[in-house]
Amino acid sequence: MAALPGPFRQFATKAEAALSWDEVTNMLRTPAIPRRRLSAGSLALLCALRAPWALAQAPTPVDTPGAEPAAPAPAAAATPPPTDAVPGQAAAPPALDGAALNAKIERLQEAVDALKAQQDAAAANAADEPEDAGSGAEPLRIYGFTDMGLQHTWISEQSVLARLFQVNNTSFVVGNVNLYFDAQPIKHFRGLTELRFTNAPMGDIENYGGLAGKFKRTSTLSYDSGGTAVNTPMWGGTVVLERAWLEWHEHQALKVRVGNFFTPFGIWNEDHGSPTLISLALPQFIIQRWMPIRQTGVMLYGNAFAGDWELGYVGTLSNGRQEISNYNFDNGFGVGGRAYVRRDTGQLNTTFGVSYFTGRTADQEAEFVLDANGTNGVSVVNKTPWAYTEHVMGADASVDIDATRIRAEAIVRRIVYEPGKRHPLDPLFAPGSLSPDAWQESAYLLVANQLPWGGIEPYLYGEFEEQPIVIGDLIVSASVGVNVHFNSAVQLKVQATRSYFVDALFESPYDPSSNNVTSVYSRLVMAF
Amino acid sequence: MKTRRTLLTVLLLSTTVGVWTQSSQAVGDPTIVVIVNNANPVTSLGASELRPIFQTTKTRWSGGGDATPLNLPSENKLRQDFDQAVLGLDPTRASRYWQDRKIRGGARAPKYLPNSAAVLAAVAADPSAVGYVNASEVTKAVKVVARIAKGKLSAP
Repeated sequence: MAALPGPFRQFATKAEAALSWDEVTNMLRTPAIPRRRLSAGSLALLCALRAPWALAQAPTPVDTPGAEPAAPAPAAAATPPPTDAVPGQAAAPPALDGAALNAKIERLQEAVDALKAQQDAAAANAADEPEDAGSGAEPLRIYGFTDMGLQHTWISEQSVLARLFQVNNTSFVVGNVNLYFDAQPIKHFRGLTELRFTNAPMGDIENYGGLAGKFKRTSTLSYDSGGTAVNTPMWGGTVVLERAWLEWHEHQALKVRVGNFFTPFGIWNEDHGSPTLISLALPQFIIQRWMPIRQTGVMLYGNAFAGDWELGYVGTLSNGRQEISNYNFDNGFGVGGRAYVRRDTGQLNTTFGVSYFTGRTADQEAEFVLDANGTNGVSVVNKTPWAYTEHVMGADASVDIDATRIRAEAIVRRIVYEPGKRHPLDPLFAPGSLSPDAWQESAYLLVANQLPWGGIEPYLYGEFEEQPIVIGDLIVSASVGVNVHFNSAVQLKVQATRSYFVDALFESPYDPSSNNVTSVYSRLVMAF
Repeated sequence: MKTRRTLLTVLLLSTTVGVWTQSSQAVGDPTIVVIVNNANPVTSLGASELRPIFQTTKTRWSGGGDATPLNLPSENKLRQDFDQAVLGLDPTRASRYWQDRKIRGGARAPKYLPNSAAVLAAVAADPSAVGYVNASEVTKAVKVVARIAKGKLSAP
């Protein structure tokens, strides 16, 4: 007998002997054909296979797609046998020869496969959309992360910083409550909006007392007009639009994103969230915004492959920095990009990248002045009190060797002010001074290793930052921390950091070491 | 004496656990076949092509056309074996990989279907699709382009 596909060999082997219904059913219960895989087509096939050899059993039409599962008919109620059976002959042997039987079984198997495919496709389509569904049209998905914890920062009481910021107290904090709205209503088009909910600016110092005037805290307190009591207090908080963009990604080599996006610069700025970042403490160049954290504009990106290596690029054209305004009021566009090579093999993942951003940033003021030629004797004059051009360059390396994660970034920033348009420095630290043109450099190295048990991942983190500022132009930080991954969604992060302020470039009128900081942060983080 | 006995017990237990683990792996390591639509001109897929497709960093076939990877649910043993062999990620790391991708706002993970039968049906119906099923479940409606046995990816 010619070779038959998989499970049907059993049928062919036993076909020469007449099979009873129970025998065939028992065969279908064997592991070769698990019972759960029985479909309408399978049962139809079963009936058809029985027909030629079973006693006075009638065939069921098996070639009809979508046939309902056929129940075994009692012999007395059997319909006429197929044409290759002799009518009236109750126990007739099969009239088909081996080749014809094989051909028929092949046809029947194809019919069963087709029916099963239809049935499974229908079931898959009817099922709820998978959580991490990725391709094609998909409904809105909402996910996010949240973290909260306890922290304490120690700064010498000799330092002005100790008076200005919330330090030397232990405080419980709600860190992030971030929600993502991720929609892909049409294939190749996607929109992502991320919101962060905060209680800010409730409680912030709005104005200092003494020489600065009357001390005042910001209060968003109000009374809940919808409450069940007339004096129920509540307060509002700021919702931060972390990002909101629309994307067209039909082509791998050229994808287009428009809207508000994180600046594609290095590793940290795109890792972004506490579940993804290894360290709790942020690098100084992120805190001080040496590159714009986010921009509004257009981003082009894509990638290609050369063997195991992925070569990728990102280019951005934007309004530039948006700390002053989301509106581009001076035609000063920001231009940036990133290029990287990546090789992921699971055991060894490496990414090397270089990033760049440049743009002109300026403030623009408008003043009403008396003007005989103006409208009703008044006109508007625009002024640019300060303006600078910056060039920011970075290089980054990300290496995962099995359970060890290594991250490193180095960044150089050059700021050049336009003549007569320099920023006034902080009146507290450098009264009457103006910002100089500057070179700023920073780098960090982070090494983490996940131990084989308990999801425990200790890490070491070192960073330096150099820039011409008066409270210590060189800052060196060292951290030790541990992340405990309870599972893929929940982790506990604890980090202790000591930062030293040193005069390396210029002699400061202050003792920079008085600003040395020790911090302990902890966060329970959950991604959902 | 007591310490020695304890050590011996621990050693025996470790050995037993080791043997048990090995045999479990052997049982739970069926041959997986990577399948594409019969209309797809691809005849063989290596790790350097499969990995980025299932990481969704590569969205086009080398010969052109969309590539649509189809996964099984993360708790499915076949999926876990596939992730280990192709992505080099155990279930925990695979889960974190996709979680991190979501937080970064990166490209979405592959769509997953409830079972092998659904994968077979989807691949048979979609010329851009690529999926994987147990070798014993494969039908003529799809084409086998790679095979994973004992954690190793090989040509079909």
